[in-house]
Amino acid sequence: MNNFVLGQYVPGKSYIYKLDPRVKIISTILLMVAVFFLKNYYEMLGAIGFTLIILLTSRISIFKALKGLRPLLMLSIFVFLFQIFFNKSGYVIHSKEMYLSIDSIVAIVLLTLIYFLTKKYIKLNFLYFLLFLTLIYFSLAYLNNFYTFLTFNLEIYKNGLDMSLFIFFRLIAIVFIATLLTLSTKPTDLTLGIEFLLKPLKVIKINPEEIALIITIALRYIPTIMDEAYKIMDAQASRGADFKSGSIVKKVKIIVSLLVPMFVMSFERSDELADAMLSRNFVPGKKKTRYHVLKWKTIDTFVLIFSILVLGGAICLSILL
Amino acid sequence: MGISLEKVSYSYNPKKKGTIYALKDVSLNIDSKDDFISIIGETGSGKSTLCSIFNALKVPTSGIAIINDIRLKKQRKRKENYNSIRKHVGLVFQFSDYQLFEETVLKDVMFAPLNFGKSIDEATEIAKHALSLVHIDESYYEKSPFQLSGGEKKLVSIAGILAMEPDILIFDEPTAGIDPETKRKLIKLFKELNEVYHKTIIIIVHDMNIAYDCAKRVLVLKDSELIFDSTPYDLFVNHKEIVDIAHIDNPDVLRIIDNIYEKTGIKIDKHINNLNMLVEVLANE
Repeated sequence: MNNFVLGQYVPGKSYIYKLDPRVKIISTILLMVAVFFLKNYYEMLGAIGFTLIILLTSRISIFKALKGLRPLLMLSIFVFLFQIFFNKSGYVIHSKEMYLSIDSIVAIVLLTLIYFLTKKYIKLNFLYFLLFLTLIYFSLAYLNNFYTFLTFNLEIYKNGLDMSLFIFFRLIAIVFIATLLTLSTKPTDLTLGIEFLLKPLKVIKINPEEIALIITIALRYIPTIMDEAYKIMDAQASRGADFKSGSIVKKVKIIVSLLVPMFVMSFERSDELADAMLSRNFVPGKKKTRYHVLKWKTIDTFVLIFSILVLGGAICLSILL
Repeated sequence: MGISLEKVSYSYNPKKKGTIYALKDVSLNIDSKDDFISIIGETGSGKSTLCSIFNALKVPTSGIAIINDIRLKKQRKRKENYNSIRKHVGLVFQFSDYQLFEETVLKDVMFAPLNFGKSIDEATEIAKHALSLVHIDESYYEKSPFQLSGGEKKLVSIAGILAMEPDILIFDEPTAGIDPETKRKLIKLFKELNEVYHKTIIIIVHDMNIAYDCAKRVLVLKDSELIFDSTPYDLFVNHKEIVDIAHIDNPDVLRIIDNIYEKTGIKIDKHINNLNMLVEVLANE
């Protein structure tokens, strides 16, 4: 709880931190759109290299950026395997006979058991999973000593491999670009930027200031509410509530004992906060000066022009090639 | 039975270098019968952490804590839980809102007995008894806990803990933000639970009048360390330097007795717990 940091922001001093949040948000969107104009995985690799260069020059740790990839790992592996197995166009580049026999089935069951039992002790989860997949591949390919049920050909086609690499790299490129924004921008700056960019919504009577205020207040209260949730859990645990085990009916009951006090306290708090804001003369929609003022600098113009050029380049590439 | 701590320390992130301790080398023993202990100290001195350890909500990062004959350890298996400790040591939190959630007062008090496997009839009996202890009458049973006033909420949340029938009761700042009437009720309740039901009461208080009036023993915490453990008389009369170090007040009774001595030269025995007793003594003089 004490280590809880809101957002992914990592403090730093390089040029990317000095950029205006508006420019950063717009550039992020432009670069992401540019990625979607790229057509094959060589270009995609180029895009990843490009974002890596930005990461390196802005002195953001690559490990931090890689962490942003973690939630997408399983998805990308699934997409990768799906493309490899089911996209059957182009020529065959790899073909291997596979056998489903008693010993290969036993081997797979054993491997799966070992994998799930030892998974929590191994730190490099992803590499371990890849090792597990490779071992399954080998057991399917080479174990056919007893009674073979089924023989099939594993064929990997050129286009399947190309597509899977392409999608995999595109995911990486997009996640890198997004993490670049979230790692280098404070949540408060992001809200300021969003507020400015939503200004056109005023035409349809939506006040961007209110949206920004909602985001700011929500961000501000996440740690408070987390802290409160822990305290309520303690209070109910000290009355014998067990949050970990028990039947489903019991669990639902116990979750209710957590949610009701949280809701009650949140409503009370929001009432109080609204009163406190009113008593300090806050009127929604009224014009006001602010403490943080966004300032447009020369570097912002450069970065904006640069990202527009990158997008233009990507569009040209896709038309010409 | 009871609580025994030996060189107990607690830190929120023990692996970090130069970490700050919420508790440091605290050793003490608490009986499960008849004792009345008041824990005092500045905010942030570790009082609440100490109470969480008493209730097995936190496990010490080093040292030995044995509560109700069970040694606290980091929980590895899911099945292990400290419910028997929580049945033995009841903890009343500072904010009653943390605890109330059912649609009626009676049901809320029944929550704990039901968690400990009592039948509905038994739980109702226990809950009614607990509510009668805190002087909440039958007209309240079907009310929603959220309609009640702050003081009434406090009493209901105390009844919720009393319904577990613990031997040791801990109150975390029970009188904070409470009206004087309920405060008097609470003090009466603490004394009654201690004297009639022979329970050990532990209260965290900032009001030294209550500490001096009720407690038989005081624990003074300063910067996460236990610096004093004796009777209130010993603290406020014999160890004034501790009172200064820990930044705590003197109880009103003692201040008045000192003032009377300065102005009139009359010496009054300081074994007087509260202002009522002082008035009686003065009337006799």
